Amino acid sequence: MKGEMMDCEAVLRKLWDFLDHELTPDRLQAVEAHMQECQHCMPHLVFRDVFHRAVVEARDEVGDTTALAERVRRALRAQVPAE
Amino acid sequence: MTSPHDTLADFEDTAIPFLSDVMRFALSLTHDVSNAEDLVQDTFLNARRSWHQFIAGSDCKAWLFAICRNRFYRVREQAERQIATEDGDLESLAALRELSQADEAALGARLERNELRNAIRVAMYGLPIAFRDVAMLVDWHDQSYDKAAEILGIPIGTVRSRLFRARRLLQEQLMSHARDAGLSTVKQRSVATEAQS
Repeated sequence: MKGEMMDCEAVLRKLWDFLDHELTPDRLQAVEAHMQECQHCMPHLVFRDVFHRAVVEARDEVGDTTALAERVRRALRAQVPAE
Repeated sequence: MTSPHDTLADFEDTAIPFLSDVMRFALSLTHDVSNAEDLVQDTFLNARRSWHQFIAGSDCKAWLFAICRNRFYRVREQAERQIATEDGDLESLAALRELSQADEAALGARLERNELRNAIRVAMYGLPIAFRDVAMLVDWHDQSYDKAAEILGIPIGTVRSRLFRARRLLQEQLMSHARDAGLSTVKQRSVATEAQS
C-alpha cells in the first residue's frame, strides 16, 4: 500500500500528535517520511520537542506519601464499617 | 450481599497504589501541599463510596483523576473566562508562523538550559481552566488524549484543540519571558519594521 503524502501545513498540524504518540501508524509513517526530507519542518519539530520536554520537566513532584496513605486508610476505615 | 469487588480491601489494593499520582494531580490543582492532601483524602473517600460503579479492569488512575478534579471544582467556585471557540487550529497555525525560527532557536536554547522551569509553571497555572486542565493531564500526568477526554467528559477533538491552544499560549508566555530576558528578536524586528514604514 502506498503511504500517505503530507505537505508542510498538514505536517505542522500533526506535530503535537506526533510528539504525543497519538498518530495512527499510517500518519506516523507519513510524518516521519516528510521530516526526513523537509528542512522547513524539522526546526519546528525540534523546537516543539525541546519546548515539550521543558514543560514536562516543570511538573510538580511529590515526596514520600506514606504518611498520607496511612491517613487515607484511617479515614476509609472510619467511613466504612469493618468487613 | 457484598461481592469481593465491593470490599474495602479490594478498593485499597486497587486504588491506593495510585495515591502518589493523585497527590501530584491534586497538587497541580491546588498549588498547596496541605490543601492537596485534603483533596486526596476527599477523593479517596468519595471513590470508595462510588467503588461499586468502577468497572473492574478499567483505568483506575484516570477514574481517580476524574473524581479528584470533580471534587476540586465542586468545592472551589471560581469565575474563569470561558472559551470563545474550540476551533483553534487555524488561529494557532497563524500564530505559529509569526514565531520565526530565530525566535524558536533562542527560546529553545533557553529552555535547554532549564532556566525557565518557574516561568513555565507560572504560565501553566495562569492558563484558562479549560486549557490548563487538558495541558496538565497530558503533559504533567501522562494521560493520553482519550483518557483526558474521559476524565474531563469532553470529546477527544476538544482535547486536541484545547491542548493545541494551551501550548500556543504557553509558548507566547515563554516568548514574552525570553523577550524580557533579551533573548528574542521579535521586538527588535518590529521596531525595525516600523522604522522602515
